[in-house]
Amino acid sequence: MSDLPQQIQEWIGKVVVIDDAEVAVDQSQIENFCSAVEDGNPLYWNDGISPPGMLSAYNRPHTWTPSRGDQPINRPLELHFRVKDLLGLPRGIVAEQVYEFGVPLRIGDRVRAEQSLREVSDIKTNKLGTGRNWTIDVTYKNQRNEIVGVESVSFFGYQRGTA
Amino acid sequence: MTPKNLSASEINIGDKLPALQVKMTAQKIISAAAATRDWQPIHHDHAIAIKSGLRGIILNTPSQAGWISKYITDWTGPQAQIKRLAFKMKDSICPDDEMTISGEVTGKNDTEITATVTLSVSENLKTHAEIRFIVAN
Repeated sequence: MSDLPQQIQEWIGKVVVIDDAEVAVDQSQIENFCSAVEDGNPLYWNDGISPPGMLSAYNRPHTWTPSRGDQPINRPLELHFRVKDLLGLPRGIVAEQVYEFGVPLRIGDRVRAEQSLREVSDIKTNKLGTGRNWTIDVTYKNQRNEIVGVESVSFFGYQRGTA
Repeated sequence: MTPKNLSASEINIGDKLPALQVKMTAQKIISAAAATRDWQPIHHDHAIAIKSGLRGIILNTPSQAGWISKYITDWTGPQAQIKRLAFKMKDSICPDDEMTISGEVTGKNDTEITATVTLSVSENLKTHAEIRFIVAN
């Protein structure tokens, strides 16, 4: 029998957080990114395609809006923070990050991000402390419900010392 | 001028990509973090980065993806489609770091190519990535 909190067990394998981006894909944001990483790919500068590295960018909230002030509806990777809080693990590091890309994002697209919890490990101890590994999958879709990419982030959440 | 695009027949397992040297700066780190709408202070606030035990502000993950993607398509030509990118970040990249990006083709299946890409500073590995992309036949 699992020793995980009931809420966590219920979340595994399900979409828990749905986030609609506050901004649409736009050319100036694409050019700002390509300028910063010195990417001269004409698909991004001339053809309205968003670079793969920007997959997660559009769902990060504004720092402030007139309607909600500085409190975002969802934090980036909101589900990770909910898992961390429920497990009572104050610290977390990213162990591995994987992006899988689908249809390209284009100017004008609106992105929806669906966050799900894939798995949570048993308790383990390493040099950082005692905690658990878990993986969050974020599936990004455009306004036509096509998958534009999946971001999978594996964390180790822990507290220092042994439990 | 139309950019050249490598075809699958021009790419072989074991091909080494030309290394790319990049002098990392605060401007590069902050402008890329801003473009990816990532306002975590460790990507723009030196004092908070130091207080967090870092050497300085650090290059965020989407920016590393951006540098790797650019590195690949500068070599293949712009039409290569990046399909998968997996990272393991072992250490941070900070302003004044002389970053070297290196790569090697490790797999080929028809038009689908796999390569390893590393980001290093003074020969110390900072990020190891596996990338899969598709080129024309």
